[in-house]
Amino acid sequence: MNIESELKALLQRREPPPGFADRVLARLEARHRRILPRALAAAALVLVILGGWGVGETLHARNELRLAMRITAAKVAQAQQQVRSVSR
Amino acid sequence: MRRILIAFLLIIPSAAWAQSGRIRVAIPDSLAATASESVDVTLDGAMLRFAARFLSDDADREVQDMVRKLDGIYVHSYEFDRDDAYDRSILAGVRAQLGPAWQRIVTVKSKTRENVEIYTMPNGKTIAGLVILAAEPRELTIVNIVGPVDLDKLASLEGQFGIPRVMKGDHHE
Repeated sequence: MNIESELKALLQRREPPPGFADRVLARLEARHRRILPRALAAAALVLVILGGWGVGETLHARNELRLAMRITAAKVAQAQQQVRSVSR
Repeated sequence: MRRILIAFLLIIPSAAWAQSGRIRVAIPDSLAATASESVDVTLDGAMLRFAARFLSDDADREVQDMVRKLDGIYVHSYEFDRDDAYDRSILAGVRAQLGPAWQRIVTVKSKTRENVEIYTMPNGKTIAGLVILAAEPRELTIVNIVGPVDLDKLASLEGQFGIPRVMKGDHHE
């Protein structure tokens, strides 16, 4: 047998054994069933971490804003009062 | 030609900042390290509005109204354990940026308390920017607010958020 006929024999169309497609689909489904809860758990964890970080950032920004306004208001009020007391 | 281009590229952002009421405050890192207390707040437009959304107290509501219109709040404040612990050229650097668009509206010189200078950038009937320089031997505060500021409203916030009211009866020059 030459190479050409060997290749032809190897590459010729063959029917899969009975139930092959069902077995493949069943395996894929089982795999999906295992992966889905893990993926959901991972997504939930990411959301919790991002949410926690977001809340922390928000509180930090709010406190910074209060602090900035506190310092600014005190300086303006102090200057105003000093000007008033001099002009009296 | 290249030098001119670089200088041009450096000047344009500064000029744009100056027109917007924003100033560049060059504070060396070593200053915060030597200070006994330091505050550096940088809140630009997006972050400012974001932070303002989470103000909930009654006192906060006035701040919320004011902050909603602003484009930025930048506060640098340092307290030191010894006199003259900071370089006065920091203040000179800020003053140098305040061109003809800025007006000095208040200058307070005090022997016993801090010296305060308040500059505003008028924009029609409103103020487009505010700079406060408050300096005493052991304290340095530089405030820059970008956007329409109501000074009276700002001063009225004193006494809120635990801000102590200024006591009367000090001696001034």
